[in-house]
Amino acid sequence: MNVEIDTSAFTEEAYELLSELEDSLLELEASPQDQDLIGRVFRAMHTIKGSGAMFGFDAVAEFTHEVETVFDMARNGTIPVTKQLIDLTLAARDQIRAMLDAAAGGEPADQANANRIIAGLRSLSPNNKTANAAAPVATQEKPQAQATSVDDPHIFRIRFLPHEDIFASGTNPLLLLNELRDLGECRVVTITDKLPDFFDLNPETCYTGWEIFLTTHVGENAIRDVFIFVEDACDINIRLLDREDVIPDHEETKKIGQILVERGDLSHKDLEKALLPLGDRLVQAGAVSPDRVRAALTEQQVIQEKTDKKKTAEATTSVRVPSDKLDGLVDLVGELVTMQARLNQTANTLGDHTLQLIAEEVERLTAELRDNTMSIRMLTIDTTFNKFKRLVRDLSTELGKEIDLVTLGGETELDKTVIDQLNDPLVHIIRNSIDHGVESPEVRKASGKNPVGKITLSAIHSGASVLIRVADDGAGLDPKKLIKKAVEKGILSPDEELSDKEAYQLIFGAGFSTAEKITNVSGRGVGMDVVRRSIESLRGSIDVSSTLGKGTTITLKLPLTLAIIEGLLVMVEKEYFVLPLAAVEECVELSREDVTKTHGRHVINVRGDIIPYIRIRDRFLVEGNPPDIEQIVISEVDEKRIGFVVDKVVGQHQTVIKTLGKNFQHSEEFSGATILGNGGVALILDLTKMVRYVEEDENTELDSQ
Amino acid sequence: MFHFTMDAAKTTGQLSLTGDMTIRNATDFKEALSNAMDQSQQLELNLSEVERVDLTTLQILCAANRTCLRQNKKLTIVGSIPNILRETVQQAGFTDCGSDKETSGLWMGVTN
Amino acid sequence: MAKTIMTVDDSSSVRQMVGMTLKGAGFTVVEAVDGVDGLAKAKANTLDMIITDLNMPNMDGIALITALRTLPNYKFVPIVMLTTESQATRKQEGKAAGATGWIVKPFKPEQLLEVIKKVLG
Repeated sequence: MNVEIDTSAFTEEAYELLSELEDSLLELEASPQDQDLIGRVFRAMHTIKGSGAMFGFDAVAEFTHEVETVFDMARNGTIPVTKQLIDLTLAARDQIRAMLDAAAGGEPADQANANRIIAGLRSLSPNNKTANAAAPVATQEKPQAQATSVDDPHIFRIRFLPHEDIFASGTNPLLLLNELRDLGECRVVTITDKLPDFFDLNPETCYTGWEIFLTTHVGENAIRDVFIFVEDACDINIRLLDREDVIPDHEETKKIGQILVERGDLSHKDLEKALLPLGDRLVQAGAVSPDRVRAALTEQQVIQEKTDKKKTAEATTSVRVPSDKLDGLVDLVGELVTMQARLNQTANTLGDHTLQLIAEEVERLTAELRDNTMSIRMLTIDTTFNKFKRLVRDLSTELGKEIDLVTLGGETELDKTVIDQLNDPLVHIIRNSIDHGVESPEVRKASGKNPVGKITLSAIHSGASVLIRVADDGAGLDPKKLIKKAVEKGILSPDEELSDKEAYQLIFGAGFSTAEKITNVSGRGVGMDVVRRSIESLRGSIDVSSTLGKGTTITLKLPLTLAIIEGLLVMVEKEYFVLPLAAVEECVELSREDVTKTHGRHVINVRGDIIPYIRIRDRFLVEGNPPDIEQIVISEVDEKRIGFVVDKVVGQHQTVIKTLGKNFQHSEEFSGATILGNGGVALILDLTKMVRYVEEDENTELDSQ
Repeated sequence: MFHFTMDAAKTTGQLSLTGDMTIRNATDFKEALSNAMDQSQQLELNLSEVERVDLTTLQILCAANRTCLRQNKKLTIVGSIPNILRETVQQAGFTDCGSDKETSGLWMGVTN
Repeated sequence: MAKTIMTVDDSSSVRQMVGMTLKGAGFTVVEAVDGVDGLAKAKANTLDMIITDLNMPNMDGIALITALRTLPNYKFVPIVMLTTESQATRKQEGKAAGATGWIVKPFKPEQLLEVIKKVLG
């Protein structure tokens, strides 16, 4: 809470006190024995010091403290009131005035003069040593939460037994209990065994005591501070209960009798007398009061709870496993998924109801096992993000730029393999942002921007993908510059027209660098093309958006996991193919008529949209004749809709990706293969690459015509 | 502050307390309660108009309850329970009037 | 119902500072300039708490606390004294006279409110 205080209340009063002080001092010179006058001087100094500090005049308070200390001695008769003391005090009075004037906007006060006065005053003290240890301006004895350990709370047992007369000091003990409750979790047991018979009761006497079991992160001092005003008006005993050596793990929590004996509530003899069952018999025997048994029971309970909690905590701690073991597990789960698909198929073929039920159950378990296995491989991306803080700091310093890196969504989880392979591309992108994106502080200032640039690194889930963005608030990409550069490098012909978006894509071209100056930080023209390739090898995609003068954002779209893909299984003749389901929008029919209507151009009209399509049959030279009605799977590739023509759509298929052997690796149009339930093999299409190759081939054809 | 009535049969008394029942008035409260207990075999306490209570209030009530039990008298709280009483009982940990389970009857309705 | 707190201090600035802090926290404030004034105002008002300086002309804080504790109405009312670190013995005297607690000067408004919470609730 903040309270606005008007300081003029203080300065007005201080000026008034100072003028009074002058009179008092002059009178005191005439009659140096006058205790009343000495008291008046002391009080004036005291008030100026106290109020000064409260109103933020710390220098005034500190200085006045010195004068007050000496005058306190004069008041106690430790030192006599001499002419020297009065001279010094008058000088001090003038000094305080000067300090107040300075605070009100006047000439600054002469610090050397202040030091001279302080030295003079201190020399008057008979005990120079203590005077020299000029106590700093008093600070409130604030309860300081002395954190003993941040991670693990402690259990304190606090015995609070107020003296009978505690009410006479205006103390309400219940408020102290409330304060303890503010420190942590409290279990309060009331001890009323001193409460007398009603007729003997003195209504203004406190008969009640408490045992409080406080589970807290604060230390003993913070607890003691609660009782600071009542130290003399109560018995207080604070004990840390949960030291590990007291409660060995394997042993049962202490027996109640043991606790009572340890607490001194019960003697060993009495314990032996009573033996079992304890609690009630002890009470009956009059050995302990029921309240004490209750307190001991609570103590037992609180410790037990803490021990239980600890055990649970230990049980949930992590296990480190070499990642190849995990990879092995994923492979096995993959096999299992395949086998399970076969089991399903077989069960359906045989039509055996019991077998079908078992197959369904196995399917459910397999799905769960798969999800669990995948989640084991998931890591948060924050470690990767944090690495870039240093990179940004170092690089921006090197380039004479000031850049803040902001990271968002560090808790987002991604497959470990994806995370591992994400580092290098991100380094490239961030280097680019620092080097080409964010301008120098001078340029930024000139364009009215904050001289400190900002790069925001964020991760967010989006369906089965994770979007990772690197956004800078730099100059942005200039499409004209990009085009000019591309033309210069011969990547683009001068008469080609490109949209802004297409122009941005140029930065991914091999050997493309727009920086006017080549620095050793980023790009000698290798960079973004490599980035694009590595992201695509992760079955991801990369996208650029930019506003000139405002900044550039690079978005990476990555699959959550590499091991499994939700696919759409399709057939062409007897061949199976899998399309990534995430890209699929819809399926429409393609009839012979449709083909004739478009005069053989590979486009179809879907509700008014003209969508180009690729015939898988033609692309992979599958022999045979297409059926009368084919299927087009409309997918989104690079933000464009494009159709893939197949004979038949089989359905959704969960696919464990197997990498293709070396022999097939030249065929980039496939991202892998999968084994089907019937033991067959389906190739998984990499739509992005396929579209790009088809376009390239078409261009080559056009060029050659 | 204190209002005492007896039923016709002269067995059940009712003591109504109002306003400030804290230590300021503790001596008066004890006296009123003491008189009421002397006159009644069964005593009903109406605390619904109580505005302030503190630890001394609870000590008096608790001691009175124990003494009544010992004398085979019955002490009950009737009428609505003011929140301030409920809170103070919780704060002080007087939830079962100290110890013995038999006496907990006094707080029935206060602590739940 | 707002609780009423009296601040007793010969320094008008301290009174003002304490007063503003208390009013800001929703209390009703009574001001007194020394022990004599404080005692008279305590009798004339129903106070829930008293904050008093120790060094005052006429009647000092200790004498005020002692006098207040003899009044039936102020036997159990929280009384907090304003002290400085150089007054450890005065603090003891104050406690012996019946003070509930103390605040070490100088203090910040927040610290004052903390102490009020401690003794008044």
